[in-house]
Amino acid sequence: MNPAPIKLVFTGPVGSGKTTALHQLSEITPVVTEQAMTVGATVNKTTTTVALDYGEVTLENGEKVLLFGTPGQRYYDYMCKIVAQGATGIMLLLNNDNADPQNDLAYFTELFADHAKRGAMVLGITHTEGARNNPLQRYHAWLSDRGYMLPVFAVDARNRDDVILMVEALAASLEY
Amino acid sequence: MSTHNYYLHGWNENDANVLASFLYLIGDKLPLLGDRTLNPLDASIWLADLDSEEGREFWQEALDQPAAGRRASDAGHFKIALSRQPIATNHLLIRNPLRINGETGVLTVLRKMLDGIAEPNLASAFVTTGERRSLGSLFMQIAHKENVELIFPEQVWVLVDSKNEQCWANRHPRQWIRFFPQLMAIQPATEAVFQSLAVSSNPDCQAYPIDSIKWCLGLFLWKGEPSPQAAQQQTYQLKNWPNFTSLPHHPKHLSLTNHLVRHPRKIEELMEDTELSREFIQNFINACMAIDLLHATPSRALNDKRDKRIGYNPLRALLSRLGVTA
Ligand SMILES: Nc1nc2c(ncn2[C@@H]2O[C@H](COP(=O)(O)OP(=O)(O)O)[C@@H](O)[C@H]2O)c(=O)[nH]1
Ligand SMILES: [Mg+2]
Repeated sequence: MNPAPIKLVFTGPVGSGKTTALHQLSEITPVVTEQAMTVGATVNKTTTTVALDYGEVTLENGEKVLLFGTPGQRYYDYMCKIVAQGATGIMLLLNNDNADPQNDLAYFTELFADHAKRGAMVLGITHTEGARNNPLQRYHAWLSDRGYMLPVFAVDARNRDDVILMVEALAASLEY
Repeated sequence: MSTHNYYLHGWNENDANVLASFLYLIGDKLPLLGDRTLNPLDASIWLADLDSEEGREFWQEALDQPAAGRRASDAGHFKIALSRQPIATNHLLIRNPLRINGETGVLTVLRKMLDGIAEPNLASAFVTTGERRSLGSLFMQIAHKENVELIFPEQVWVLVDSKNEQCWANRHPRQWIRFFPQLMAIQPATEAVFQSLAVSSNPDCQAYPIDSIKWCLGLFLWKGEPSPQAAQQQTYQLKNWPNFTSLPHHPKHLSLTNHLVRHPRKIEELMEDTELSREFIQNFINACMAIDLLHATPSRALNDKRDKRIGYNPLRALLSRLGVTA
């Protein structure tokens, strides 16, 4: 009856809050595949997503919205691309405390260029708590220099309202 | 209240508009700037911009004229000069650079002068609620780097720490939109107030950007009328998406944003795009203006490859499932 599933993809580098954000929305206990970190252990955590996180929300009409969290490490890119195929929107989470979050931004907008160009992408910048003087400015600057006008919010992935705001912005962006 | 007209010698349009907004906010019924049709002789205050040819000439003339020789029509005019460079001392000169903090400098002087020639019409220390004027005075206080406390029912408060460009509150800005229309009082916040609310150790209390409060003022102050700054433009375009996690908003603000970031829009066009009321849209634009989110000269339509209006948006169904109603 409804062949194309509705998909939302949470992506971003290791430790940006993908798993946490997906938890905020999923109605089922998300299937999370974490493993002890051996690579990229620069972030203050000992486990990380190596394969896909998966969650679900069932709509009133019975349709399912599938939530995917991509692996953080870049050598899993092929998986990201497959997951993103036909996705309604990309929720890109970036950790503001990372060494070079602008580089992360460049990397993921390139990886999901189709979505970015269609405005089917929203950015949540995590770990901005201590930041002063409009931490979002550098992301806006990078995006607008390249002709993108995507929503960018300072979010805490642990806060459900913040994650919902990202979905709201995505919904609005898709309504021309 | 008596009104005072002023005339600007050699001011550029932009500075004139900024000054007009400030004057509007402190409640003086001065005509809007840029009103070049006013006869200078009908104005009681003359403001000269010494960085312009016209302003310098005017000022030189005024100085050259010995007091005794001044025309009678001249006598009633207060003359104020300002410059972005340091200039010779004179009790009527303002030396602060205009663009940095000069508008408030001009206002300080204007205030003093107006106090002398009319009944005091400035915000008193304790202002009671509801009125445009009390909220307007808040804008001024923030511009003057004064710390203030806003008091709402249900023991809700917001402390504005203007010096550090932040505010503290015991409710998330998401909820302010509900509380703002019920503002009970605005009063100066001393160090003791900050201490007694123990802002940094009170678990209910968090710091938010000063934009949160400015945005709220923009939303509520003009009640559907264009703010003086917004009135200077017919077409609007957003520089980027507002950071809605710390700005009190209505779900429809997201739709408005989506239109306004992508192309320049007139109010009428937005009404058509979104089917929202003129007042609702105007308040939103005033709020964007208050935190400097609008392009001064809207121009470029974004060259992106979006699909035309989609019929069914599955994300709306998801949102309603998540408890959000658009
Ligand atoms: N301080 C802070 N911690 C956050 C924020 N967002 C997520 N976290 C935490 O960051 C850690 C990494 O999050 P996780 O979802 O596992 O990241 P992932 O690798 O992208 O899946 C978790 O302990 C989260 O609780 C934020 O905005 N601020
Ligand atoms: Mg994870």
